[in-house]
Amino acid sequence: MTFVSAAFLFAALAGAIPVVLHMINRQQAKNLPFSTLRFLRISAEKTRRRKRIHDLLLMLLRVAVLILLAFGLAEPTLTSLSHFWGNGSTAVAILLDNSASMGVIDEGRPRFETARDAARQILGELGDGDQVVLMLTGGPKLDNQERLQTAHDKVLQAIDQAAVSYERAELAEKLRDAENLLARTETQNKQIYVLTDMQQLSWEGLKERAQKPADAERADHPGEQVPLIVVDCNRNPKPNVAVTGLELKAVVPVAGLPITAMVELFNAASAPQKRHAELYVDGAKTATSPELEIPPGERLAHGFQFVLEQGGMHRGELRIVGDGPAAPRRSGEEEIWLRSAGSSRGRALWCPLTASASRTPSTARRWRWAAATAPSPNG
Amino acid sequence: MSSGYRYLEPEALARMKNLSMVARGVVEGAVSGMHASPYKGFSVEFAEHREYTAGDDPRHLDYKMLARTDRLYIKQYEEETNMRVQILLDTSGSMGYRQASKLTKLQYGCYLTAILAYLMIRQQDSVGLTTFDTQIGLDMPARGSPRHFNEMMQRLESLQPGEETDIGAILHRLANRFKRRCLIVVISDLYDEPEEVMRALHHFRHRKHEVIVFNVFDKAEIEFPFTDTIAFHDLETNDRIQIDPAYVREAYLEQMDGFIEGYRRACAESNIDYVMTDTSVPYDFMLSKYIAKRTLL
Repeated sequence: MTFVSAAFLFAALAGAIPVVLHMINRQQAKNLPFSTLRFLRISAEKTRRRKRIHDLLLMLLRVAVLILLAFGLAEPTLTSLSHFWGNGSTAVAILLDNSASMGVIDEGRPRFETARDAARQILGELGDGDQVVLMLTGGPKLDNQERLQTAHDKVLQAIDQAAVSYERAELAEKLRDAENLLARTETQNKQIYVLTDMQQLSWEGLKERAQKPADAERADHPGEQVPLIVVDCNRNPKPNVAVTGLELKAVVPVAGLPITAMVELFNAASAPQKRHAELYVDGAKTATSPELEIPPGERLAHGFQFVLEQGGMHRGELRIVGDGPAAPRRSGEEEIWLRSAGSSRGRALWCPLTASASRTPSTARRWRWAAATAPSPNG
Repeated sequence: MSSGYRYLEPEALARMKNLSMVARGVVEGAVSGMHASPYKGFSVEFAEHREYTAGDDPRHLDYKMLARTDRLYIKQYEEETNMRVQILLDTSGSMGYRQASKLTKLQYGCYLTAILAYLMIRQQDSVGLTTFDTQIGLDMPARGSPRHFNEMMQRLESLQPGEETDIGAILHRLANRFKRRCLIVVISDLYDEPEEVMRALHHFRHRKHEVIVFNVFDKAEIEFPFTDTIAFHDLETNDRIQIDPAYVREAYLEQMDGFIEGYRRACAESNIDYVMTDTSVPYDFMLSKYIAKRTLL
């Protein structure tokens, strides 16, 4: 708010006039004789409190009138009326997760259908004139996906047409897009709904996004926080532990000397998970980890030590064993391949222990390593 | 035409000339008149029989009764007598108040006293006047002579409002002084503790006096028409209070109504005539109205 004629603000000092007049009038009360004051005293006592309040309010009103007059003469100007009053409508961005995991069927119903129903319900709650945009996390873009619109029937049509894609959801990135989109509207009431099955991988990059400076679209509204409402469409969260890393270490990579396999497990579920990891070498169980408790969204490393009796190519396998029937075994999906690179009796071959990992882009998580060891000096 | 007295206006006299004030009960007078007397004498109105005793005048024997019963009875008659009226006029400071009228309450009371005295003297009654504030001031016993009336009128003209009031105590003292039954007319604003005043008026009634109270106010006291903030000072005590009439009017009128109604109710219960008036009402009109109503009752 700015003032065109700020000098008139000094006229607000005139607010003292009623106070002065009140004091002067007190001194100049007319004197009159009266037959008896007995009734006047009783009456004055009865009305004293009311009179005081009334006098005070009257004086405040008079002071306020003069101050407001001065304020008006100073010609205040509001830079943005919408900030002052708001326009009453709402702008809503609906982020509909259509990643592959949304195709999973929970309790006989695909998660995506649950999300789609939630989107329809949100749309039904909006009033005429409210702006809405539907954003999918993957797959081909919808018509008018990047534009807020008041035609709710078109958005409803888009919801009906949306389908599960085979891409991974990048919710952090989409959130940024939604915030930028909402920043362009002057509407005061803004909301972002995220309809997702809460896969951890979908939220990757959220922390980095929060630390980034605001985009140009949002520069005009610093500090504006758009409420984010996340709707979890995962009706029956499943155990979801994956091997995300494996590294083989050996001081001297020769047969007969200990080799350490450092395993990294990741709990992608929303609840803590307890697991045992088992290491199989050449089809035989070589080591078992104690029970590993992995908090949701956390990674945990565990080291196995084993000894290869002979040099040459070896095949290894890491199995994750569940801690109950609710956590099915996922063994067999993780394998270790160990391979020796030739041997020479009585000689030590110094070959670096190597491990390489590749991760398929799809849901199956397979790890393959190639390891070379030299035979022991004794053969 | 002037009557020669300040408080006796010929116009008022002309309007009141056909009215007469009659005692409602019995009064003890020395002269035969138009009011019932407690003394049974030998007059026109028969009252009762009494057995003859030695020394009774045989002229009053009821011979018819003697013929019928063969016993001696004396006929007794109601004696009509004159009325003794004692006017008690309040001359306290508050009676000097005047705001909405050209008369102070004391002046109004003086006019009322004069016209009442005139009416009484004219009908052969005797009138006395006692003024009081905290003490008894002027004290004229009841007489019926023109000279007495003349003196009373002159004394009225010199009356001035005094200071504070102690109506209750003064009326008690006066009640003890009037031995013979008479008509007591109190003219006052009654600004004292109502319980005390009523006790004193009961005292009069207990002594068999008939009592009429003229409670006189100024119209401003009843309507409280003030608007601006005013510092009122008490005419009796000189105390001051600054108030905004707009705030206190409602509560004041409520107090005042309660005060008047209290007297009205208490007087009615004690068989005392209570007449509330204000100085804007012509005293002769008010008095005519009262006498007419009293005659009907």
